[in-house]
Amino acid sequence: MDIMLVLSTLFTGKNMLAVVMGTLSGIIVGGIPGLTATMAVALLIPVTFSLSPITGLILMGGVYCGAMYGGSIPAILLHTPGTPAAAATALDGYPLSRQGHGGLALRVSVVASFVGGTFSALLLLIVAQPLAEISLKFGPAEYFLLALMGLAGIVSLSEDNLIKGLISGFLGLGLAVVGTDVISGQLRYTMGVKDLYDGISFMPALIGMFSITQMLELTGYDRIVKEGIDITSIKREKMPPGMGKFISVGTLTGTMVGVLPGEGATIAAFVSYNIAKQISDRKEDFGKGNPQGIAAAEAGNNGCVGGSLIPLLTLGIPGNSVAAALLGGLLIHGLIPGPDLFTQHAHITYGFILSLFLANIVFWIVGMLFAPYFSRISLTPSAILIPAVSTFAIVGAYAMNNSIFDIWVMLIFALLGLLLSKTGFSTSAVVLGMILGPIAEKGFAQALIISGGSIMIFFQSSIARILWGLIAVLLIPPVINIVRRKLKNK
Amino acid sequence: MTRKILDIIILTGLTLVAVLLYVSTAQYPQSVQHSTASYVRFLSASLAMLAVIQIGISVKKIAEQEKVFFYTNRRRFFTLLALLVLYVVVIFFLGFMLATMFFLPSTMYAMGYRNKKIIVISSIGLLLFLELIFVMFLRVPLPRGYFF
Repeated sequence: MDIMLVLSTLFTGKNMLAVVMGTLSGIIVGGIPGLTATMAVALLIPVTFSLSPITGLILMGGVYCGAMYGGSIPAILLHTPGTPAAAATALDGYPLSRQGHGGLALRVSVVASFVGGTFSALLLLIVAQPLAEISLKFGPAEYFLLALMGLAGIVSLSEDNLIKGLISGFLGLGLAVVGTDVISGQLRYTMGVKDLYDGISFMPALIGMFSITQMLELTGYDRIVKEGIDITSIKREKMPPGMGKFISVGTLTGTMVGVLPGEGATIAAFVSYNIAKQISDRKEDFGKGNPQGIAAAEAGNNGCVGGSLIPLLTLGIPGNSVAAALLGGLLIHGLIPGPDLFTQHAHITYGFILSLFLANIVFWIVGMLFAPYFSRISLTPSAILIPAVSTFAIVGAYAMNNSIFDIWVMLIFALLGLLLSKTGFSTSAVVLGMILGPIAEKGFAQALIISGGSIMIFFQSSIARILWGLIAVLLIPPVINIVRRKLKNK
Repeated sequence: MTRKILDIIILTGLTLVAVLLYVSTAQYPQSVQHSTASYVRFLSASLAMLAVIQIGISVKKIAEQEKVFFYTNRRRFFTLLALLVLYVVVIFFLGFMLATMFFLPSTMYAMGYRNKKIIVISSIGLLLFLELIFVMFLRVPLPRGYFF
């Protein structure tokens, strides 16, 4: 590989403009609920046809990086995750905003996103091939266990009331079976409603449970920041110490989960959040505004960016839906994933990978510069904020499938979310169940078909045994905590 | 409503749904009885079991008088709920832009904001932003109404 050729291909005025424009557009797209990076990248494909291959890819890569970070901004400030992956960020980000520390939460989020994104791009640059080969060793049983690992987070999310948390998770998993049976193709529980043939869309459900529920809650307050809190504290706040450990956990988890095709940034964020909670010495603050939770979740979902591109560029297997849209962008320029991409078209491929570092730098600068200004949103009067956020929520719910039905789904889930949260159930666990349900069901069913009905398939491979070990590590400490607390209370 | 009664209603409902879900798996094709049907049976059995355990805990642990408050400001809460439902109905007939033109200022006013200049400017600004981002930049269609 000729490094000078790569650098001269990358560092042109047009390409630098593409990095900046792509990343800024990504931040906007990611920041608006319902608009996804997949949608933006897919829309860019025809646009990039008129550009050179490297410029087109850089533009799409910038959108991907920017959107993954952008999703955290409304999650922190408005309890409205711009992307499903930012739902884990909202758990601690929004309580911090309500305490008048929105600026601090945004700062932690941008630093963690930057580290996660940069590290995963570095791995993509140096060890793409061996990591891609590991991902091929994952079969249906391992995917089921990975989904189970994500679901272990439910226990962590509901330490205050474990049984209600588990009920919420199972409710989410149950809602996810509505639609078409992945194995037989038979329709289940659709009640003849065509809009339910593909299942209940989780984005409208997520927007309803997180965003609209919060807007209904906000009707009782004049603004997001709680009464009596010193609003001057919202100004520049320094990074809290000890974030490195949690950012590292999120970064590694995100990159590894991102490499696995079909897994997504949402799982990475929740698993990272869960691990961070287990290793934290401030466990009791999680869910109440602990920056460690934001650091892990954001490093986790941004770590997925580089990870998901590893199987895409080396094997032609997209790690997630955004990578699938990027595959379209590669193919339209005649770039076939595989060894040729790293030999014949090395200057384009490596130029593209290096541009991801630049995209991370762009959003880091934007985030650091604008965090104190973004955080002013939490001082906006609720009377202005409520209709504005509700409008975005409605457009976001509609935009996923261009369906008015989805807007009704959003409103129904808003009421369900309110009812559940007020009675001690966990809406985060419901959403997690809905997101992981299809992955868990598909993996479970396919594995049992392969094994002829024997559950031993879930224990056979060494990867499966490692995953069981990790699940145990994630489940046992919170369960011990709960038992200890119960005994102490007695 | 008291927390205890609400808990019992929700959990009984969930138990009922879980039982129906379990029973429904008998109608799945024979080919998936040992795959997806088993998965759904596992889910429903777990949900029912947990709900029954929680009913026991709620009956025993929750104080008789403990109440659940869904709102802090009753008038604003129900007004927003009504406006949201009305907004979706109006979108269905008049389309997104016209419906939003009514929804934004009326909700701001209903939520207690009285500065008319800000209401008008922020409503127009938001509509322009939505048009710019969704329609012109991303070409994402906004909801169209029955008439417009």
